[in-house]
Amino acid sequence: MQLSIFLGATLLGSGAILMFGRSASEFASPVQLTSGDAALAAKVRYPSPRLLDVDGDGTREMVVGDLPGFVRVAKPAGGDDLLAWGELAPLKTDGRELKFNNW
Amino acid sequence: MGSQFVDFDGDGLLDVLTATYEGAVYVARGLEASAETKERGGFADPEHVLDRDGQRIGLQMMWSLEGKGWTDVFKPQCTTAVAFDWDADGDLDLLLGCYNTDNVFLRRNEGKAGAPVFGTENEPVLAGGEPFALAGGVTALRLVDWDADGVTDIVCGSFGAKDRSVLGGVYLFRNEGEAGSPRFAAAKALIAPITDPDGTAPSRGLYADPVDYDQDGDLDLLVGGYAETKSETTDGYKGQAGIWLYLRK
Repeated sequence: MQLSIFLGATLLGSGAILMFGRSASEFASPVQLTSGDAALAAKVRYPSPRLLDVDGDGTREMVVGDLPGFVRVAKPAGGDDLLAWGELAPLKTDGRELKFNNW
Repeated sequence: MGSQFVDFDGDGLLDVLTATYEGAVYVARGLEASAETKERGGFADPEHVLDRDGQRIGLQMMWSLEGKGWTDVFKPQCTTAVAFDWDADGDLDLLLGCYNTDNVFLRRNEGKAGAPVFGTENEPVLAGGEPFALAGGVTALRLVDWDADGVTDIVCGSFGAKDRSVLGGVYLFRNEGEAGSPRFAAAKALIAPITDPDGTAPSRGLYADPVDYDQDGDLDLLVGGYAETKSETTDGYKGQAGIWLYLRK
């Protein structure tokens, strides 16, 4: 699994964990989620992620709210890379995008 | 805009509850599932959540922290909202977070499950015995039993101060009370603000989701935000949006 690469890379000789300049913490170093060759949500303004099964199909989706009030959803890309996601698409009902008013 | 997926109206369907920079609370009610696909039916158009007087719920009225009563002398802006049964009476109350005064308030539900009747007053929520405060402003409140002690804690990210005196982080407000009488401790940093951004991790606008991402039995953190690098811009930095995973060790 690709995640293990990132986890192992941060172990120091003392057993402490380096977090890219942070002090030791209870988390491994952050790793960025991807979509294709790009970062997931790279074009989303103030992305706010939730991981849940939003459509009831038994698989968790990545649901991302944004500053303008849109909600987008991405499916797992599949395969062994748990960081890889499909393309974010607007959450729609009967063709209508879910959009919360903002200013 | 941090969204909470919750059965807000008690009809058995998942709704979307949120607040936006408009400053008020919205719900998009879940729709019946398709008989053909059996998947969820999506969501109705968002509507404002109203109080018992028919007014939009936000933070326009707040309690004077000096004990001088209710006042509207300044206008904290409600930008995050979550439903939470604060008093364990079986219905969902609201917690309202504010990005420009860093505070969190309680709006009580005086109705019952499935038939909410919200009061008209916002009560300040305390943390560590003081008014809940998060330097850098509240992004989105998340409710979770972080330490698996049976009561709901708050995990919350911060934007980071405009003057860059403190950048964004993610914090735990541990509930040291019990169901029906929550008592939150002072903030503990789960992800401490970066002091020297280098583009490898988010440093502004941190929106956190505590979730067991790798399904190993503990809670990790998904964090949306901006990873900054030094640039020739006005404040000396530019940010790149993305989502990062912090796996619990």
